[in-house]
Amino acid sequence: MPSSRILHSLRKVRGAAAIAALSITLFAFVAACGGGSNGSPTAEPDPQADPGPQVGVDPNAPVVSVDLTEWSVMPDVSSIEAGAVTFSASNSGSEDHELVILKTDEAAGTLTVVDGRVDESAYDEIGEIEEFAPGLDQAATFRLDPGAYVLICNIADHYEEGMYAEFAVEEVTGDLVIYSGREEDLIGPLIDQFEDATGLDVGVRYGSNAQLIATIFEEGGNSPADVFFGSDPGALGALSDKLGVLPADILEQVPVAFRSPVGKWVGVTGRARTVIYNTDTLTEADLPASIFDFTDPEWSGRIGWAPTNGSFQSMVTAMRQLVGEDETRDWLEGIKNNNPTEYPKNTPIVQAVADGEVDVGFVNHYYLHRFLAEEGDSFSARNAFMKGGDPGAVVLVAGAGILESADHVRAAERFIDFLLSQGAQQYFSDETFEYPLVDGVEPQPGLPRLDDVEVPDLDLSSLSDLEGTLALLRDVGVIP
Amino acid sequence: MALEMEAVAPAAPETSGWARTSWPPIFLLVPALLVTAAIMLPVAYVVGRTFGAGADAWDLLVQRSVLDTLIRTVYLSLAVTAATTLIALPVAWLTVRTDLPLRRFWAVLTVLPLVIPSYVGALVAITALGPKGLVQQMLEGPFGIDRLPGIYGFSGALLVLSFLSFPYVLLSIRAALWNMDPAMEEAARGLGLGTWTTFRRVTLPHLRPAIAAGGLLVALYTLSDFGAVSLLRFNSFTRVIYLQYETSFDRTLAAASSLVLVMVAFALLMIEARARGRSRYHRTAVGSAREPNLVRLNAWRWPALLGIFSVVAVSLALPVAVLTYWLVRGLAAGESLSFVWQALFNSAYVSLLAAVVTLAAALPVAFLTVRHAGWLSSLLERVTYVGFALPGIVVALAFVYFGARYVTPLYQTLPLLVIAYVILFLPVAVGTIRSSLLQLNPHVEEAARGLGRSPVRVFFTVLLPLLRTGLMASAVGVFLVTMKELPATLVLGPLGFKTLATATWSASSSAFFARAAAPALLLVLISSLPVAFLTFREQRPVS
Repeated sequence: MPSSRILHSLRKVRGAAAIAALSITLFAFVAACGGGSNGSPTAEPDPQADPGPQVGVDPNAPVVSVDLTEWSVMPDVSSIEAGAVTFSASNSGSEDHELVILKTDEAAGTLTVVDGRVDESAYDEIGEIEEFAPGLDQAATFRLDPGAYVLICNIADHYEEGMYAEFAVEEVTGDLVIYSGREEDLIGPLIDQFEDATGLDVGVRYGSNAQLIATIFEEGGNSPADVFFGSDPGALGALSDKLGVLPADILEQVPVAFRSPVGKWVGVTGRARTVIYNTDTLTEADLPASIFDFTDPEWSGRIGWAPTNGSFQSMVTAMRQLVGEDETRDWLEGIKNNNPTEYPKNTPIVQAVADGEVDVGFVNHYYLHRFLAEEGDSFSARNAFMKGGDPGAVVLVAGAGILESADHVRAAERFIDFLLSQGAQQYFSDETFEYPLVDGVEPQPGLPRLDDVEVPDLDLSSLSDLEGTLALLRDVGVIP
Repeated sequence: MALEMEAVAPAAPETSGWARTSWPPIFLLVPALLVTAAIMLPVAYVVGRTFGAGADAWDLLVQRSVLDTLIRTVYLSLAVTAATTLIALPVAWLTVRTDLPLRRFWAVLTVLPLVIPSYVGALVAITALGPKGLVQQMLEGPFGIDRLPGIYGFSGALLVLSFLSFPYVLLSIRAALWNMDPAMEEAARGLGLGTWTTFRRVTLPHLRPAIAAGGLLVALYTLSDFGAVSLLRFNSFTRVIYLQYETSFDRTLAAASSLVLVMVAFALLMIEARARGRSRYHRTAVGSAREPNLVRLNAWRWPALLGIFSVVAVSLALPVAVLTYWLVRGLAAGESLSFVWQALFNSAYVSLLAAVVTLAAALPVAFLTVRHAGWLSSLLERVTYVGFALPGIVVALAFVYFGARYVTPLYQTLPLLVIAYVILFLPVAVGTIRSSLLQLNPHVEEAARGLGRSPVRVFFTVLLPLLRTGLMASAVGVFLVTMKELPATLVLGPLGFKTLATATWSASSSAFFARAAAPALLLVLISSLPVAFLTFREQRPVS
């Protein structure tokens, strides 16, 4: 699976604290990442890192203008809220200058100097804008955690001449409003953790994806919501017009396949489509390897499905991408001819399969585990993953985005960053049995690894054509 | 409406109803107009959105399948109305007018199903009565039954909705029975009619407005229900509306479809107006009415008990048993429960608030329609019912639209949420108050006026005390339906505002049935308090 390779390369890049070009990013944006959230220590400085010729700027980050001249470093503000920050440096002097950002509690004028230059390796170097000529401007975006910083020009002797300034990065404070299409039972404990960790005052409105999306649209420009946390790619896509572009350093924590192609939302957890079967009447060996084989008359009257459900519809969109419109139509008609039992959503399918109302059902993988947790291992249903890159095994996401009208963008960014932290990803893995999307967190034992599920080669960005899928479903007559 | 005018002035055909009607006093008219204006907000929203949709909406609405769905939905609605009347009428009579053992106890239990959210009711029905449900498992051993008749489709929807919504009719009939002067029935019996004939020829006709009012609520409620029909796979019109939101995130088509529901609602309102009849319902004799003598059931008490026991068993004991089963099973599997006291408090508090405000809003409307009948007042009263026919999500979104734009500081605060509840549940109060008021002789007020009291004083010192039973029944009805309300609470509540209904919904939609069961059981338990209070305070008003 390509995503693990991407993750691997991402990890290497993130390990380098100095500026490094990221070829796979949306903005060719340069990040010296502070190592995730929760105030974990930033990665080690790496003086060898080559900043590369192009310096990237995240257009959504607030800008701090810094005037560099002989002999001063003059930012236009002395502090800013934590998060992505663009330093826009102007060389108004007559010599070349550079801008180096160090995270240190020491006073700006008392840093350790070796041979006329500050010993960068003694400090936590966040990044730098390389030396540039007088009269020019250079800008770059960095992710800054709360704390004290010193901005210097570290060309020989310039520091000692007085080219330094103190700069403070403050905790994001205030409120945050989240509209969550995911249930309170799952999200509530995480919100509490986030509030404890940040001191932010978080308000959450829970509802179905559709309810909340309709609410946001009806609120017009007055939505109090900052973050929308939705449970399937169709919902996130439907809200796309109302979402702003996320900072690149948030997007890049997740493989390309699991985020919006235009950076409007990022996947938080993965949810595999599976076929659930009744263990009293079937064994996994009785099941076909492909979801296409369920059109065989032997499955007549034995299938449960939920054609009005968002995840099912996303699977159909994936199928259209993978095998084309005609074969998808054939499949839908084939299943329809097998007189499937229709359910409103996944949960009742799982229950119906266990009860023997139907023998198999097309569902998301994690619902089964809720039932197992409540009813024990005797629960008579299990999941089977379709094989060979089948659309029946597509992995969908629940994800989050920030509204364009948000009043609390920094707090919102912090929250999404938190959702992608190791702790939160572990929580999802443990509590919801979903697939973590960030490197370093393992799915639950008992779940096949994403690498072992033969996931179809498809990125979720191609699943935005919900309209086409709905038209097809209506045409075939499986939804009204 | 002509019917209303005739009801008041059958003997004066030469004057138009317009002229005959006394112009309503300002202190009633202004609040009634304000309430009506608020009620029209959802309709205005739906109309506005529909025009926004343009030709697409029209194409969608004129499809043959849409018409089929509409006919099916109306059919279900009428069937549920008939079924609930058949359940409620004997239950009301038995619990008010007979010496049925433990009749107050049964009176409390038979009202409580109103508080069970329809999706919970449907889930319970499927768990218990589904093809492989609990009942089937119990019957499998001794009787070898391996499949029960289908719960899905029309029959399941009819069953579940009837047993969940019959208390609407029950509350309305009970209030009317309490307010009815027993002298009429006694006179009938004195003239040699038997108990049954008296019931059929005297009692029943007097209950017509109450039955019509309760039945109208049930019919409109069935139109707007989504929870039960979706789980029971009955493709109703409201399900189509929800699917437009859920699948295409399409607000305009959903609004256009809702407009159709509004029209159906108006049609049902016409039917109800006709069913109400045009007679007088108040006593005209001098002196005050007294407590009726209870009808002695004697040997009939056993079949009566069996009947009322069956109603309670299906409508309340079964859901409570399944919820308890989920709770115990979850606890046994080590599921942890956090009791949401905050949700409990919020539910009770906001429902009480909604009940009081709805009552205040309903009184002027009901009073106008009965005492100042005319085209304006009947129009006002008819309009109050519209909100009840609209799916909850549509009313909620209308409030989002107007709230976020025009009263931003109030948006997503408790006051606006309570106003939304008032608009959703006003008909629950208006109908019962109206039928109580009909049973009150206007000469009582006129006498008070003649003794020099101002209309305002008469209203507060004479009318309100006389209407006590009807008012309390209305308040309890509104309290119960607010307790279970979901879409408006989710969308319009203050941030982090949890109720027992939202807690139940949240847990059940993520398949944590044990966690869903606890707040659902609390919902039933808490709701039984005001119902018990109402039942034990019920008495004939002393005039």
